[in-house]
Amino acid sequence: MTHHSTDNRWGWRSAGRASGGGLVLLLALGLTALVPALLRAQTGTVQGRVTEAGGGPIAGAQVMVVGTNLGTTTGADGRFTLLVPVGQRTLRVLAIGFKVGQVEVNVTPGGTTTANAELTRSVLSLDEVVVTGTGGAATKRELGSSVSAINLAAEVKDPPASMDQLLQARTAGLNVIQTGASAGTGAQIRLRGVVSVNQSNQPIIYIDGIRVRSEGYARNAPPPGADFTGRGNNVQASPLNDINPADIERIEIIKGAAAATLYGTEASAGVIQIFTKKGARGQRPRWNVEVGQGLATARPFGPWYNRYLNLKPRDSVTVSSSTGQLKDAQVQLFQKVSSSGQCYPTPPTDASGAPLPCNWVRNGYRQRYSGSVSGGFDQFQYFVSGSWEDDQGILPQDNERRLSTRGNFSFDISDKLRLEWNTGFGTNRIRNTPSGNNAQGLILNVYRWERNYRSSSNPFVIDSLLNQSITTEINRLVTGGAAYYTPWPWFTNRFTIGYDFAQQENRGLRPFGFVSQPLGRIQDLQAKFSLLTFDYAGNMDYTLTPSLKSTFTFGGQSITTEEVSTNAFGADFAGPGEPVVSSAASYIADEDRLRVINAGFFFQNVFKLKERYFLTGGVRFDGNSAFGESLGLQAYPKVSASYVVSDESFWPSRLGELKLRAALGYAGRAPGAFDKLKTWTPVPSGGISAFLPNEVGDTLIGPERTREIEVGADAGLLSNRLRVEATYYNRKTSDALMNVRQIPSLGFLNSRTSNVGQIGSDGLELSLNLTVFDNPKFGWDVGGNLYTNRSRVLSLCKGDVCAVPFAAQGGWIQGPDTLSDGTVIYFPIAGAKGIKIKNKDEIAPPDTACVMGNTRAEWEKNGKQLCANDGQSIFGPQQPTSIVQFTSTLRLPGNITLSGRGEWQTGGYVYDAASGNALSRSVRWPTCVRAQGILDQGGTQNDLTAWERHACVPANHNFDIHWYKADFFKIRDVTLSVPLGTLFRSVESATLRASVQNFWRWYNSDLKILDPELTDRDSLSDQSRTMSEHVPAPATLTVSLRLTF
Amino acid sequence: MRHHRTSRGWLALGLLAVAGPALSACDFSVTNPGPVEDKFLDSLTARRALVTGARRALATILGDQGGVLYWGAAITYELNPAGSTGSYGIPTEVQAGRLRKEENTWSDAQVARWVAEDAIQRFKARSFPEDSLFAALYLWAGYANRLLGENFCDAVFDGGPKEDFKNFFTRAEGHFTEALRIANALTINATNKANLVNAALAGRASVRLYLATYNNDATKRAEAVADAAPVPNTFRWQMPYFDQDQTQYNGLYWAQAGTPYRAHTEWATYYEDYYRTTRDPRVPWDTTNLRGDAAVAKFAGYPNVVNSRVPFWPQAKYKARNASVNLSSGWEMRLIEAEAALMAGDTTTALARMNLRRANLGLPPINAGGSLAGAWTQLKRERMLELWLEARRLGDLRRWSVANTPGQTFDGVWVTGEPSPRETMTNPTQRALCFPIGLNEEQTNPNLKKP
Repeated sequence: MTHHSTDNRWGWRSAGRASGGGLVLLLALGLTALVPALLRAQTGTVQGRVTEAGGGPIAGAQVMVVGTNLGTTTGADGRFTLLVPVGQRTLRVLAIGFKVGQVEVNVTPGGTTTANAELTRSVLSLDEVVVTGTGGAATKRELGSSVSAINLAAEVKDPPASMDQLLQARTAGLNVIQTGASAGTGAQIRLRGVVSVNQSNQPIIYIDGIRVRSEGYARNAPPPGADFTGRGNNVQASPLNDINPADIERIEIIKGAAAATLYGTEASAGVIQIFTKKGARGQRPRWNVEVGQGLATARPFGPWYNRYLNLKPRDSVTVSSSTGQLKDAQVQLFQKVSSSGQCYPTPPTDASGAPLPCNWVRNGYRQRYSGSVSGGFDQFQYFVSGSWEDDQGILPQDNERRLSTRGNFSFDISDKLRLEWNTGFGTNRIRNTPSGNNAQGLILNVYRWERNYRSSSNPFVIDSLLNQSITTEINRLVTGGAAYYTPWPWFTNRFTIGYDFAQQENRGLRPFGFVSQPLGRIQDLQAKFSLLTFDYAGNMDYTLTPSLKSTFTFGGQSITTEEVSTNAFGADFAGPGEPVVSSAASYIADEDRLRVINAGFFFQNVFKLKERYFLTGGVRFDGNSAFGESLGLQAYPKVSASYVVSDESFWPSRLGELKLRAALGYAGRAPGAFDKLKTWTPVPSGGISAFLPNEVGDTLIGPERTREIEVGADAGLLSNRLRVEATYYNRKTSDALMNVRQIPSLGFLNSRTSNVGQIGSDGLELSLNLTVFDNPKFGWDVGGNLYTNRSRVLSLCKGDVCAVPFAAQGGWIQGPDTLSDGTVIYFPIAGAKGIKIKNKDEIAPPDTACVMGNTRAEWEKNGKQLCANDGQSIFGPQQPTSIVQFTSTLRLPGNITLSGRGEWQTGGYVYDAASGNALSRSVRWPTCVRAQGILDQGGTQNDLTAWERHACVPANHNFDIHWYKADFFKIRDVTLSVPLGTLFRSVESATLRASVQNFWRWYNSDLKILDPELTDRDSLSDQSRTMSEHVPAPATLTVSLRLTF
Repeated sequence: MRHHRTSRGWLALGLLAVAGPALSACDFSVTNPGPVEDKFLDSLTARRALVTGARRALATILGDQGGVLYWGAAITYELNPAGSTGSYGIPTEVQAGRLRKEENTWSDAQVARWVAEDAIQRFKARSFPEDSLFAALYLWAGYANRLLGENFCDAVFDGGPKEDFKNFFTRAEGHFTEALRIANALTINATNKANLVNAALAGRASVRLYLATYNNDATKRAEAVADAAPVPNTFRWQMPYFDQDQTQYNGLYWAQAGTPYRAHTEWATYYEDYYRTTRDPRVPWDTTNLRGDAAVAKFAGYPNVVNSRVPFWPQAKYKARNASVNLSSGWEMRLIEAEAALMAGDTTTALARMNLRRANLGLPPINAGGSLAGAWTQLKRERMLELWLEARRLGDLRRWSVANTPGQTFDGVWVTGEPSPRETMTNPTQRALCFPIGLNEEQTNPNLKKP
C-alpha cells in the first residue's frame, strides 16, 4: 500500500499557531498517556544509498518512513541505515535541488532490507517541505504564497559569524540594514518594507517552533541622567544575533500577511523561523571544529580632516588657492590629511608624556572558536555545540565577547511518538566607546574638532573623554520541547512549549574626576525579558477520492510576553573608587513592567487535486490583552491556490517546471499595552508624587489588519539550469494604528493611538538563478534578486475621525491630496520631510517653495513635488524603493569555490543629523569649506550658493535641509572556500575559508560625510534612518579553518 | 482510500471542538503597573499629587529647556548665546530673535494651565474640601495663566477659538481671587496661611497691573495697588526646582553648568557692565577663563572673541540645579506701586518706592531728572533688574510697547566701552515680543484650522 501522507517528522519542527496554554497542555498530557501502548513494535533494518540519477551520492538527503516519525539523513557517501517497523513500508527521500523519491520496502523482523533511491534534479524543489505559515508540514508545490527557505548546509555552507551578515542580500524582499561600528550593534530587518506606522516593523522570530524576542535589547547609554537614556552610544543589540549561525540548519522566511495569517495578530511584518541542527538516527558522532581569525577595518568616511580617526577622505575637497577663500591656518588644517604615516602634528602624549595611540580608529582583531558534535542512535539523537568569539571592534574601547552553547536532543519513544528538547544558552559582554549624539562622546567631539565641547582638537584633551565606561551584559536562554505524535498515519499532532528568557545589564560610569562632571555619575539598567509559548497543531489527512486529498489542520497558541526593567541613576561621588549607585550623593530609580498575552486558534484545510491543483483556506482567531473593551476575538482569514502546470500531461518536459500561485491573507499588529487606557504619569517633584497627563486612550482600540495579496510563478527553465521566481504583492493595512495628535490646550500632548486610516504598499520580487555551466571540475552559478516597494498612506481617516498629519518613525505621515482635477497624490509612509532647495547650486537666494499645482499636468510640470501640510517637501521614503542583489558562485577544480554577493539599493533617503548638528554650531565642515572660506574672507551670504546659505550660515541654518539620497552599492560578501581534503588521520574533511564583507562600496555623491547605512535610530523596530555622530560599520575579513571528524 | 475514523480520532476532534470556545473565554485582562488610570484620580488621596502635578507642569514650562524663562531671556538679551544650539542650547532662530511656532513652548504652557484647571474642575465636581491644597491649586492655575498672558501672543482655552491674550490675565485674576477666598478662610498655621494669602494677592496684583496697562484702566490700577500693599517686602512665592533628576533641574542653570553645556553668558549684555560697575546683587554674574561650548557665528570679530567662541561669564543668580525662581515677591509689589503711581503721573511716589528697594540693597538712590519719562526709564530699569531672569521681561517689553509708555529700555548687545548697543530689540530686526500659538494647536484645533 502506498500512502501519500505529506507530513513527517521533518515538517513538524516549527509551525507555531494557536492555543490557550492550559487546555493544550491537557491535550498533550492525554496524548502522552497513550505512549506505553505504542512502544516497542518489532523492527527490521533498512539500509541503502541515495544518489543522483546518473551521478554521485547525495549527502544530507532526508529519508523518512511515511506515516511515522522515523527518519534519518544520508552521510557524505549517500548511505543511510534505519530501523523500521516490520511490514510493507514506503520510504520518502528528499534532498535540496531534487525531486522527491519514494521507495517501497518490505521490512521483516530482524532482517535487513536494501533500498536505494535515485533522485532527479529539480531546480524548483517543489517537494521540499516547509512548515512556516502552513499550519503543519507542506510541500512547496502546494503553497500559494512565497516562502524563502535558506538551507545553510546546501547553500551557505560556511556561514558568517552573525545572523545580520548571514541574511544580508540573501533573498528578495528582505532588507538588512547595517547600523554603525559600535560593538554589539544590531541590524534593522525589514520584510517588504513598512507595514505599520505606530507599531514595530521588525518581523517576529521563531526558533524551532518557539517564539523568541525579535525587538532590540534595551539601548546602552552613558549616564547623563535618568531622563536622558536616549543619549549616548545609541545602539541596540539584536536578539537575532544571539543565535550562532553555525548551529542553523535552515531558515524559512515568510514576508507578509498572505503567508503569515496563521500567526495572527503579531505577524503582519512577516516571520523568520530558524531551525537548528539535529542529530541523525544511526549516525556515528561527527565532530566539527572551526577556528576563525580576522579583523574589522573602517572604510574611508567622515569629516576627513580628523587625522586621529585614521580616516582618509571619501572625496577630496578641492580648496582653490586662486580664490584665496581659506585662511592659511585653515588651509593647513584641511590639507594636512593623511599625507604621511605620522600623527599630525606630532604624536600625542598623555599628561605624563607617554605616547597615546596615534589613532582612535583601529583595525579590530576578531577571533572565533566553535565546535559541535552530532550523532544518534535508534531512539536518541543529539547535537551539542559551543562557540566563543571575541571581536575587538574598531573603536578604542569597543569589545564584544560572546559565548554560545546549544544542546538539541531527540527521543524516539516509538515510531509514533517523538520528543525533542532544544536549548540554547549564551552570554554576551559588550564594551562600547561613547559615541552618537552625545556631548561627552568621543566621536562627536572628534567630528567637531576645535569647536567641540572640550574646546580643543588636541587629541590629549579629547582622549580624556575615554575615562568612562559603557558596558552591556546579556544572558539569554531559549529552551523548549516539542512532542510529535502520530497515532495513525493520517493524524499527526505536535505540542510545543518554549521559554525565551533574557537578562540584561547596562551600566555606564563616569567616575569621580571625569573631565566635565568632576563628581561623577553612574547609571545601571537591569532588565528581564521573557516569552512563554504554548503551541499545539494537529493535522488530519483524508483521501476523498483517488485524485482528491485533503489535509485539515487545526491548533492553538498562547504567547505571554513579560518585560521588567529597573534603571538606577546616581550623581556626585564622595571620592575616587569603584562606586555603585548608592555611592552617589543623590540617586533615583525608575521601573517599567509590562505583560502582554496573545492567544488564539486556527483552522485550515488544503484540498489537493491530482497533486497539482491546490486550494487552501484557513482562519485564525486571536485575542490580546491590549485590545480594547468588548473587542472579542479578531479573525484573520486566508485563501490560496497553486497550480503545478508542468505536471500536466500537455506540458512538454523540455520546457522545465512551472508553478503558478496566488494567495490572499490577513494578519495583524496589536496596539501597545496601555493604548486603550486614559492614563496619567506619576512623576516625582521634590520628593512628592505628581500626576501629569499621559495618554488619552482609546477604549475601542484593536489590532491593525493587514491584507496581502500575492500572485506569482516559479519556473525551472533551460533544462533546470535557470530558476525564476516572480511575485507581485499588494498589501493594505486597514484600521491602521495612527498617532492621532491631540489638541494641546486640552492638556494631553501625547498622541492617541487609534485605528484610523489605511496604508498600503505593493511591489515586485523577482529572483533569477542560472547555472552557467556545471561539470565535474568547473561550475558557475549566477543569480540576482530584484525587489521593489512602493509604500503609500491611503487615508488618515475612519469615518469622521481623522488624524492630522504627524511625525512618526523619523518621517512624516500624511494622507493623500486631491488636486482640483481629481488627481489623487499619495505620500510615502514615514516620508523624509524637510526643506528641498531647488536651486541649491545657484548663487541666489534659496528657492524652497513646494508647489504641487492644481492639476496633474501642473503637478508633473512642477517636478511631481510632494508638499507636506506645513509647506515643506517630502523627499521620498526612508526605506529603499528598489533593491537589486547579485550572487555569483564559481566552482573550480578541487571543489574550490569563490562566491560573492552584492547589493544595490535606491529610492530611500537618510537624514544627516551629524552635519546639521555641527553646522548649526559653526563647526568647520567639509561640505561648507567653500562657504566658510568666503565668509572668513569677509564675504557675505550673497556670495554663497542657495544651499550654502541655508547650511553654512549658522544664523540661517535649518536642520530640515539635511536629507540625502541613500543610494548605494556594496559588495556584501566575497568568500573563497578551499577544501583541504583529509589533512591528517581521522579528519573526514577540512575546509579553509577566507571571507571579506562590505569591503567595497559606492554611494550617492551628495552624501559626502558618512555611510548611507549608518543610522542612529530610536529602535530596531521603526523606519527612522538618521545618521548621527557614529562611525560606519567596518569591513570585515575572516579566515577560518573547519575540520570535520 | 478514505480513512476510517476511530474513537481516538473523534476524541481529538472533540477536544478541538471545545478548544475554540475555551479560548474565547480566556481572560485577556492584564493590569500593567506604571501609568495611572484616570479614574483613580477621583480619589481624595490623589489630590496632593494632582496639585503637585500642576506645580511641576508650571515648573517645566517656566524653567526647563525651551521654557519661557530661558528663551525669553535669550530674546530680550538678559543673556547672550555662548554656543550650543541643541540640547540646553539656544536655537539659532531664538538667537536671531525669532520664536517659532514649531517648538513645544505653547503646548507645554497649555499643559501647565490645563492640568491645574482640570484638577480644579475635578475637585469641585467631587466637592473636595476647600483646604490649603485647593488654595495652592488655584495659585498654580493663576500663575500658569499669568505666564501665558505675559509671554504668548494669543489665547486659546480647551480647544476653543483664538482669543485675546489678555483673557489669560482675566482668567488668572479669577483663580487668584478664589485662592485668596479659600486661603482667608483656612484655619491653619499662621505663616502658612500668610504665604498663601500673600501669593494670591501678589499674583493678582501683577495681573491687574497688566490689565491696567493694556486697558489704561484706573480701576484695575487701584486694585493692583490695593493687592500689592499688604504684601511685605521680604515675601517671596517661588517655583521650586530639585536636583533629584534632570527633569526637575533649574534648566537655565543647567544649561551653563559645564556638564558639558556652557550655552549662555552675560558677556556683552547690559548686565555685564552694569554689574561690574554697581555690584547690584540682583544681577550677579561670574567671571571665568572659559569660553562658551561652541562657536557663535554672529559674534565673530567682536572684542575678546576667539574663533567665534565668546567669553563664558555665566549669570550667578541661580547657582545650583535646585535654585528656585521667583513667581512673586514683595519687592515686585513695591515696583507695582511705583508703576501705578507713574501711570497716574506721580513720580515722587514712584521714585520713593524704587529707592526703598535700592536702599535695602545698599545702592545709591535714583532720580528721574525731574521728568515723567525719566521716571519711567528708571522704573523700566528697576523692573529689568528686579525681575531679571524670572520670565517677566518679555511681558514687560510687550505691554510697554503696546501701551506706548514713555521711557527707555536697555535690552541689547552691549560691548564694554561702546556708548550704545550693537543690537537692540528692534535693530537689526524686530525681535519677537511673544511666543506664537503652537503649530500643533493650529493643526489639531478645529476652531483654528484654516478652511
